[in-house]
Amino acid sequence: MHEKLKRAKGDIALSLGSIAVSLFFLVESNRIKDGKRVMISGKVFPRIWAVAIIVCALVVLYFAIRNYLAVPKEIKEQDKMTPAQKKGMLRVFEAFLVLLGAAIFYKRLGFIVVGMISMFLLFIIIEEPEKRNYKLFAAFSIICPIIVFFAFYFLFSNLLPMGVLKSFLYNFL
Amino acid sequence: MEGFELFTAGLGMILTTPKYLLMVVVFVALGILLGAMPGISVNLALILCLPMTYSMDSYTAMTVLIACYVGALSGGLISAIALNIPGTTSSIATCFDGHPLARQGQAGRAIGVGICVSFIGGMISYVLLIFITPLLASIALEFGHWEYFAIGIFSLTMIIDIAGDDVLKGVLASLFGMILATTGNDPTSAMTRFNLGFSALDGGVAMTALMCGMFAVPEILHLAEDRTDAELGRMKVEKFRGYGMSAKQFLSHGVNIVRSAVIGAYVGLLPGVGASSASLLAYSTAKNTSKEPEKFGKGCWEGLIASESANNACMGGAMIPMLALGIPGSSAAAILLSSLTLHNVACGPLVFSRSGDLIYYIFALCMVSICVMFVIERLMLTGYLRVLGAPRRILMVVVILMCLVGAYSSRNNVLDVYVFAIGGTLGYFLQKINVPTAPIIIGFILSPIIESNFVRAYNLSLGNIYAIFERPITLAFLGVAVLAFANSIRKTVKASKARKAAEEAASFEG
Repeated sequence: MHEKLKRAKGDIALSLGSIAVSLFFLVESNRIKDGKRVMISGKVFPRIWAVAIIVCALVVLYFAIRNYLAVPKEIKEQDKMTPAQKKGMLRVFEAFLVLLGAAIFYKRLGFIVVGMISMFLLFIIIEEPEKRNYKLFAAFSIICPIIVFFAFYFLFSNLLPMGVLKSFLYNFL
Repeated sequence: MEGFELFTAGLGMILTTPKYLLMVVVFVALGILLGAMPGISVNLALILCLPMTYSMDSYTAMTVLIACYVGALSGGLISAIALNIPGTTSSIATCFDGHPLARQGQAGRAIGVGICVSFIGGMISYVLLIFITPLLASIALEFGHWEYFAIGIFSLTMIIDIAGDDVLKGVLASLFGMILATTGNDPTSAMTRFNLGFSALDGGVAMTALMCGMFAVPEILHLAEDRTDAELGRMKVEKFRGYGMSAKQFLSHGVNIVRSAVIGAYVGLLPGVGASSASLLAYSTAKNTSKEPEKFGKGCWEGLIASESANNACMGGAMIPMLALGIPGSSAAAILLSSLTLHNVACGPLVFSRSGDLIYYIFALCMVSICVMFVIERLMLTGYLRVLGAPRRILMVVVILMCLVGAYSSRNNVLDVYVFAIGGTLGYFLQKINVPTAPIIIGFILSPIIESNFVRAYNLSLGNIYAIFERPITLAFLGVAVLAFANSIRKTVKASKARKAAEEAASFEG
């Protein structure tokens, strides 16, 4: 992708995203209740930061649009993601889903199961198909969460979520 | 001299009691191990060790906690340098130059130098702690909320140093961190803000989860995006001797080490400012006084030394308000204070007369622990370098697992795992569009310091904003901050003009 065009597109996305975030905070700040005998309400600082974000984002947006318009039309037309880049972004999305899934099922399935599944999936996502060593991946994915779980329990008296293995794990605790 | 006698008695007690000495060795090693693990902050390391101390006497309990604290604070530099994931918040500034050095194949040397300056910085602060506590405390009393607010603003100038060519994006990122930090209860009125109906968000967004996400998740997502990345192999680690630098080379950095240690010790004195601000301030000062400021952020030894010297020196300073005033200057100090309270030691102005022997034992313990850290961390370094020599793919997946634990365990809150996953992915996309993520964390750390101190100062001045002009220290800090921002804008404009001229010249030649 053309560097200047990529930068301009990124800056436009950044500024619009920032404006959206700050508008959300500005609107939500109306819900904050004022404390008693407080000279400065809890709304003030979030609003200051939100306005400052909008100002900075508008400056970034101005320069980004200027840079975008300066890029020749033919470059814009040619500017498309290659199949390899598309696949790369798809893998990023898959990895994100694995992490999000880990958060969603952290309590329900328990740390050990979530750790095993997410580690194994991440190994598969980041390794080329022909170089995958499934036995090694499985070994790491099984051993690491178990070690961490028991280390936290026996060394630090910190019980991580047991989830579906609750009744089984109680035999060891 | 009574204090010094108590100190030597405490030192003798540690060195002649095998139980205490062994505990120092074991818990310093454990602290280093925990601190080096991404996601396990100093606070978490202390929280994990705290339950063990309930049944112990006060001396043994303090031995466990202080040794672990010293180890964890220092251990944070290992993952900061090797993986670009700060083990503790105080190691954020270490990443800026430590990781580029590691990428140049100098990970071992960089960690060795970090250990050595951590030791020197820590020792300087403990010497200050023992001999000039009353003087330091009296200077610290000159600092009120206006001054803390000004320090917060001044620390923000650090963003200029790490934002690179695009200061505006750095500022935008830091503002994003600052607004994110306003989530949860308002620090002064305790009114809930932006909790979106989740009571789990009343305590705000967890720092550990956000930091792990912003630093660790982008790494794994980069690996997912580009499997053929040339840097995916094993990390190259050069052979080195001792601590990576000769005594002469260390001496050439003497001014930087001492200055950063004094900054660290002094910032440690100020309640609520913390080791992360100390290392950022020291880094900023080192850059501003350097003959080669352009080298900072690209693997500069001065930057690494400043950050590590200051964050370890902070611990000595943080002990003073905790012990003498009963004010915990940081979360870690609050955990230590709670342990002292559990063992019937009431911290405050009378602590030196009531429990002087224990207090000076703690001072001696800090010194012994940092000496043990100096030896043990170097011995452990060989093992760490072997681990770092493992294929990067495997290492990063294990790191993600550790971060999953760290994000959850800091508050036993599953919402923090969401923050880790979503915040990290956001960090990845920000990096893709050339937005540095470190300013987000810096903004997140500094926002509560700026807000809470401004509100308190304003309330205490009965709404008189002009009271700020009666505070010369505040004005000095704010003045330097404004000058630094103005200078950065000038540099950005100049760099932009130069870039444009180069582009025009290239197109003309083309």
